[in-house]
Amino acid sequence: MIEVSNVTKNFGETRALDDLSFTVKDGVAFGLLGRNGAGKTTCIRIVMDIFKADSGRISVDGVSVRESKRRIGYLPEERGLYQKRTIQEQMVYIGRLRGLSAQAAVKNTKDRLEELEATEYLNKKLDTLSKGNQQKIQLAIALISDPDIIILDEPFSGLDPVNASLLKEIVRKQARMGKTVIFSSHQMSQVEEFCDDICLIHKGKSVLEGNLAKIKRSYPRNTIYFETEIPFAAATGSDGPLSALRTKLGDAIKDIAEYKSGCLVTLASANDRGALLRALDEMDVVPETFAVKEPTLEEIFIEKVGGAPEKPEGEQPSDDGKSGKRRFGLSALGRNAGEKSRNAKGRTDERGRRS
Amino acid sequence: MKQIGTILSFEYMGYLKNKTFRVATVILIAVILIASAFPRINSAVQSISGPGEKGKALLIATSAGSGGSLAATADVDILNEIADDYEWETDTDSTDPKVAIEDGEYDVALVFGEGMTYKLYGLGHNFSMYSLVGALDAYFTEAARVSAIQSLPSEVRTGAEQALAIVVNGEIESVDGGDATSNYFLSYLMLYLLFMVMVMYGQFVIASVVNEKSTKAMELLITSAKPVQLMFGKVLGVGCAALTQLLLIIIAAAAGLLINFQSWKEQFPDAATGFVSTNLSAGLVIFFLAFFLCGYFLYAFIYAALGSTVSKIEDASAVTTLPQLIVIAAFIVSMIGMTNIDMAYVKVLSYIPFFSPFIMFARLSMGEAGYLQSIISLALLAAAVVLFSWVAAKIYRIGVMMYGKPMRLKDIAKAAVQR
Repeated sequence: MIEVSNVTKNFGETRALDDLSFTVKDGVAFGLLGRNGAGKTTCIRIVMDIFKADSGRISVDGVSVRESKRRIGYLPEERGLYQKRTIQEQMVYIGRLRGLSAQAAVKNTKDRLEELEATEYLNKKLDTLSKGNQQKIQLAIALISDPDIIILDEPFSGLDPVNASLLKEIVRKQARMGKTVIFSSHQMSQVEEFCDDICLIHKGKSVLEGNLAKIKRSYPRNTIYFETEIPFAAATGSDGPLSALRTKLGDAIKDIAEYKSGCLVTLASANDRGALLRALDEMDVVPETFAVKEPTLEEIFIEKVGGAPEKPEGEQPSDDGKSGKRRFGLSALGRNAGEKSRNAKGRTDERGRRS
Repeated sequence: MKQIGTILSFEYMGYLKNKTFRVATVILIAVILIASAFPRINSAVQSISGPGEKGKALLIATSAGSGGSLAATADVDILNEIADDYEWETDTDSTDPKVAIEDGEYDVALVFGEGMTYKLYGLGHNFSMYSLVGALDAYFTEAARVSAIQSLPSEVRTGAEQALAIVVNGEIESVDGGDATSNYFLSYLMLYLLFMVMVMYGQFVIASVVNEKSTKAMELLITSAKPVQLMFGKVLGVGCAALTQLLLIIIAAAAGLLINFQSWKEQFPDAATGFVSTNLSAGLVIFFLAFFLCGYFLYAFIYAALGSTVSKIEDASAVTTLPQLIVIAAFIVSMIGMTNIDMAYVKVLSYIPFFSPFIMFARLSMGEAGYLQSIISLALLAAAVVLFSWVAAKIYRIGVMMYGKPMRLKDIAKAAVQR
């Protein structure tokens, strides 16, 4: 477990980190999220003991990073290696620096490259590899010493979709093995599906921290997406059914819009979900799918970071139908089912909080 | 220590596997071998091309009576013998020597003047003219003395001949056993080797540090090992590469000189005596290595620290100017000092760390300083190495994570005093 407690760091006049705190549990993929310049890399560098914090403390299982015996694997944001040395030489070198014996370093080099489907580069010089493949090698180096703690700074930047999914697979596997995985990113859609816990940093401050699923569940569950066999609105070829539904539900409905073969309904309250179902039944509409649409990570991110910063706790995502559509946009609908099944697993931990 | 060993061997192997390094070593060895065979090559060239084309010289024979007694001692045959770089011809005094030279007909022209004087005409750029006049002076002086003695009455002639034949030979006996002339060769070798190492391998250290910064390998490295370990490993790695290269060069030079020693002795007896009179004792070898290594480390740590303050190799030259100026100053002062090894300023500088590897070793090897003085100087040097490695490690630690513009002197100083 890594605990970052009240860390503050200034660079001259600029405050890079401002009383930042978060906890990373073992066996969990932890996402450190934020816009460019939010302080993610500074935070990671302080954890890695590259920079010293002006105040605050970082501990690994209760002791300082320096005292901790746990091995750390690190993928820096500024990544590069020796251009004129072979992959094997460099990987064995870093492995040995990280405490492996010569044989173990050679063995791990081969194993990591195999996992990353990069065995053919073993005896190639780094400068003969493409940028994406160099990045793979960097990742292999981060994992060379079988680390207990894996810290990846912007691991997805520069990777093509195939390699990105390979990386995700590796991160998931490491987390499943009970390792502590921290990674930073500013691309929310890319990390959403495999972050367990997150910390959202904005201007050096933590604006949101906790279990992602819980965070999502903490949002009002009043936006419903339902699908019918025949597109709901198109069934009569007019706007009729939408208006009919609006009339039936009256004040309980805030907004309604069609999307593909379904409809997105924003209710005044989550308690009106039953009323919506009954209204559909009365209209002889049998939904094929009927689910609460949770906010995507991107939407949460924009709300926390891109929107007004001073929102009171527990406020509804939107009172305005239009902006609601923007924030809880349609683009993320595809992921809804996945989120639903994750939520269905019944995570009851209440760490997820809004701030 | 294990970390430093790992870094050292990685750096060292990097040089051994580096094509440029290997090619440079081979070229250096080839140059050394060729240089050591210089007398042999010189005589080979002479035997192929035959004796070099001789210059043309004109002896202007003055009409009988004038020209003094010098004219009587020289004719074309004698001149062809004593000044055989020239093909001598003679002509009457109607020839104007200046015209003969300007027309390019002759390279030099000799005209006797009044009394014991003569004039050698030639073009200013004719280098051999200046040694020719020396040879002619020697001959004419001798000839004039002999002819003067000949003209003396017979009863004093023998005495005069005896007086002329007197030669005095002194002998030096060094009370402390030292010999300022004997280890000239060794002192110069140290001087040149150290200078070469400081300029060349200092660049290696800088290039290696800047390379790790510019390729952005540094962040990964400093999270895998402590900056001070990285710095030591690198400096040692470059040092090992330097020693390997130097050892090969020294072996090549020694082998070359041994093989060609006879030719050296024949053609350059002074240089040959220099090699032979090198008086190597075990103590001297140990001091040589100690001064050499301490000198290398002192400068290498400074280079490493300064290298860490820039991010691009283009900026490196700006920060290396200062240490290079010190190296060049130390080198020049030492060169001058070696000919005046007992001067007060030389003694003072031989205790100052940046200069002592150059100067104290010269004083020791030439017998001007004893072991005790050398040990004091070496201790001061070693203390400076420790101090500078400590300061350099601090600058390095801060410097390696600074990207963008090179650090200003103020920032470097701040980094050096930080806790």
